[in-house]
Amino acid sequence: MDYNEVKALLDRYFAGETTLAEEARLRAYFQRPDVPPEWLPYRPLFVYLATEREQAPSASFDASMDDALSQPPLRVVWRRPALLQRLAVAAALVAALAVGYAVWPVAQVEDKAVAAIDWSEYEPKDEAEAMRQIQAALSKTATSLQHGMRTASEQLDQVGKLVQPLE
Amino acid sequence: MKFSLFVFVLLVGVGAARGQANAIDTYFQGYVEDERFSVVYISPRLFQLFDQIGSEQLELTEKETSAFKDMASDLRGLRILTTDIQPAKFYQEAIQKIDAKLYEPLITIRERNGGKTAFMIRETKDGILEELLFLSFSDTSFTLMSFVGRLNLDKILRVANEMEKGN
Repeated sequence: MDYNEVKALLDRYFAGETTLAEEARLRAYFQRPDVPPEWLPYRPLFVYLATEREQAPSASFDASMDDALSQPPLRVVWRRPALLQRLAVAAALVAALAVGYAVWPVAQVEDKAVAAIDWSEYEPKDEAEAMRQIQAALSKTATSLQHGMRTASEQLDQVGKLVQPLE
Repeated sequence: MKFSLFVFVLLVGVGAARGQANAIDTYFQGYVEDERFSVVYISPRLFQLFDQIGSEQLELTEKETSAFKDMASDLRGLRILTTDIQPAKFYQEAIQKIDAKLYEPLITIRERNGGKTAFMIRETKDGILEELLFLSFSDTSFTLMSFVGRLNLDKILRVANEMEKGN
């Protein structure tokens, strides 16, 4: 290539207008030792590009690429952001507490209503026995209450005497 | 909104159910089903029968009979639980089960033999006595009685006074 032709190619190269074949010619040209001094700054670039094109991947790189390509394609899994996950857990807890609060009193009511005691089965079958039970219960309660009231009254009297001012 | 209304209705229902229950239904269903306990229930019908019985059948004086009937006329139900197994343990357990916010201790008597008797009352908001609980244990037995009705302590003490006079 003569000087003008190389100059035109360089202008087109840096304008991004060269073809692959023209770029190959430039790389070949700059391998020469007699490159004019004004183009010497471009020489390392084209020498580098020429050298790099001659590089071939190593056998181990080829093997690892083959391995990677033989693996089944990866599935893309969408994961919730951490904050969203925490909010979801908090919402679930609040919902569970709300349901628990609503259901707990229901369970208690059901305990009382469904499992209510059938008291009729504990009524004395014999009326005389029932009268005896009533009388015994009333008398025991009355005498115990009277005993308690009387004892309490006596204790209060004792306290009253203790706190009377000395004459 | 509908859910809030549902919860509100439930809570009101629970309150109503609690208000109507007696202490044995509320706290001692387990004792009723426990075979170690003897259970007796005196219904309003039996109290009406008691009111029709003469003093001869009750083997009481006229005044004693009058006092008993006066007390019984206020009652709408009597539930009695007794056991002779581990009386002290059951007494302590029963005292702890009762909600102190609903049942106010009236009087507690410590007997010389180591036993204890306690009276607890439940009143309406208007101060009307509607349940009297009697809890007592000795070396040999534990007794729990629930009197339900519009009770009057003076009438109960009158029974004891008349019995004392009779003796």
